[in-house]
Amino acid sequence: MIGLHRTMALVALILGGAAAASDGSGPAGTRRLVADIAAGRDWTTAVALAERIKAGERPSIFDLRGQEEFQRFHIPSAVPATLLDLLETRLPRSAFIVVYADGARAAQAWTLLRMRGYRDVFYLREGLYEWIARVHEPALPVDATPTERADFDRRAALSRYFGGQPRIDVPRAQMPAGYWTAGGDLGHRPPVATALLVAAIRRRGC
Amino acid sequence: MTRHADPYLAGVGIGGVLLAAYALAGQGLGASGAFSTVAAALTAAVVSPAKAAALPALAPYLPDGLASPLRDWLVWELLGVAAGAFASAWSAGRLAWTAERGPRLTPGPRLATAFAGGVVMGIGAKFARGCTSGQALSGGALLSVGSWIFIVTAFAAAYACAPLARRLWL
Amino acid sequence: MSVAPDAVAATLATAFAIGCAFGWLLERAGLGSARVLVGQFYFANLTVFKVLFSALVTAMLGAFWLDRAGALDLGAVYVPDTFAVPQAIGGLLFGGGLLLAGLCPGTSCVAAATGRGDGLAVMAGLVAGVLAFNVAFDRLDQLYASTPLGTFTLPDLLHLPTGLVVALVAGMAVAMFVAAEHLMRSRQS
Repeated sequence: MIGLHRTMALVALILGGAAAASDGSGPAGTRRLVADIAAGRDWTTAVALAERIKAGERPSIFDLRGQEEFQRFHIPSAVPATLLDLLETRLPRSAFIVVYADGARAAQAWTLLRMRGYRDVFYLREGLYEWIARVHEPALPVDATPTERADFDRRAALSRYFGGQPRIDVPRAQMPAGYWTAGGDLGHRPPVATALLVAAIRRRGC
Repeated sequence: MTRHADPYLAGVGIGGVLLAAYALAGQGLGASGAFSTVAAALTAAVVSPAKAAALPALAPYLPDGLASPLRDWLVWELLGVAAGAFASAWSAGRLAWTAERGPRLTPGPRLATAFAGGVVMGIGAKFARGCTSGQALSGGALLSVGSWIFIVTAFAAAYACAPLARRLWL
Repeated sequence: MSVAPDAVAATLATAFAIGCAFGWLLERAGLGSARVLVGQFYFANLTVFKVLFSALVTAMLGAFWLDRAGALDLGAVYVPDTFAVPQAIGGLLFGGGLLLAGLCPGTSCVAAATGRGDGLAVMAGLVAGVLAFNVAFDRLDQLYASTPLGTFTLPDLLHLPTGLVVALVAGMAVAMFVAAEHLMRSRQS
């Protein structure tokens, strides 16, 4: 029996030691982080987020841009936050979390939350610009194909759900571009573009 | 009568059962919660379901106004505990109608102290949101700070009370 | 949210099966006996400690590694919230009550199922205790809800990676088991 106990103790110490030597717990493991980034599991589209909200999910949405910009316009149900806030937030481990910002901050926040052990975390690749362009004010080009029309109809319904304003008969040259554009525009929208859009919304009232 | 099993082996076995609970039910083991459900059901039966559900203490246990202990996970877990314990004791020849007690107690006082101890534990388990199964074991394995606080304070209190209760047990 | 009756039945059947295994093992270990359980606190035996901590370490290591292997989604497992002060108070009360009763809620069911009248008495006391708490809830609820810290784990508290905390807990448990064996051997001589 003593031999068995000694074996059990040894197994426990080995498994414990290996745990300490590993990259930390599952979702924070740096290998898994890198794999998720490579596989595109770190971001979500604004449209997918909108659909999940409409289906009844209640994500915790964090706006990392700053109080002033937040006040001007933000994704419905978002709250302003800094990276420090995210460091200390105590959401349930299984919470569905989305972060957005201008530029790299959103991806940094994603990494921080994943290292804290949250797993259902995503960011919006083009931040508030993507939400406005794809959900709040979906645009239908003048010469839309049937596929584009069907996609627009779907997003127009989402837009109305969130109190937005779909636009039709938009000249091709003025269609908002982003990574979703057929040609694959991968640029990130500078804060200026977002600010212009927001200013336009505020002039129209919402 | 068979000897008791090695405590370390039994512990590892229980650890495995706990893992099965995490995997199959998304939660750990528990016990005191079942007693809360039963108490809520009794209250609802005595006053009225509507009045009982309006009480802040009972609202979590009466989600649809109706506490059915027979729909509660923990209640069924404890029914299983009873069944498993019976089977083990029967196969080991350890079934016995008796009131286990220290050598200086007769059954009457023993049952009274058992009841009193249960009352105190019931209150303690409410404050702690669990007992040795739910907090110490299941929460402890998940490294929850509150569970570890419970482990330390419960053991400390039991050791502190032991000298005062020698008459009960020794 | 309504759940299909089949799903409910399956969930409850799982609970029952898990409980059976739990109850069997507790009885095998002797924890259905108040005298064995209380023996821990008079150093007659250290069964409670050995069973509790080997189960805890097994589940802790198992959860960590199964999660790493992708076989268990630890994010989907409910971690109890921490309420520092109420849980400390609850622990103190619970420990005192445990020594008085000789059985905890789970082991009281084990004892009752094997014919022990004291097990039934403890179960009745537990229900009475819960009822007493409910009756007094108006006066207790501020204390009950105080110091909420949410999901708060030892890695969060110590600012250490989870793997390291797992190693420390396992190492501490093994060290305590060794000390326990020494203690019992020296008491016997």
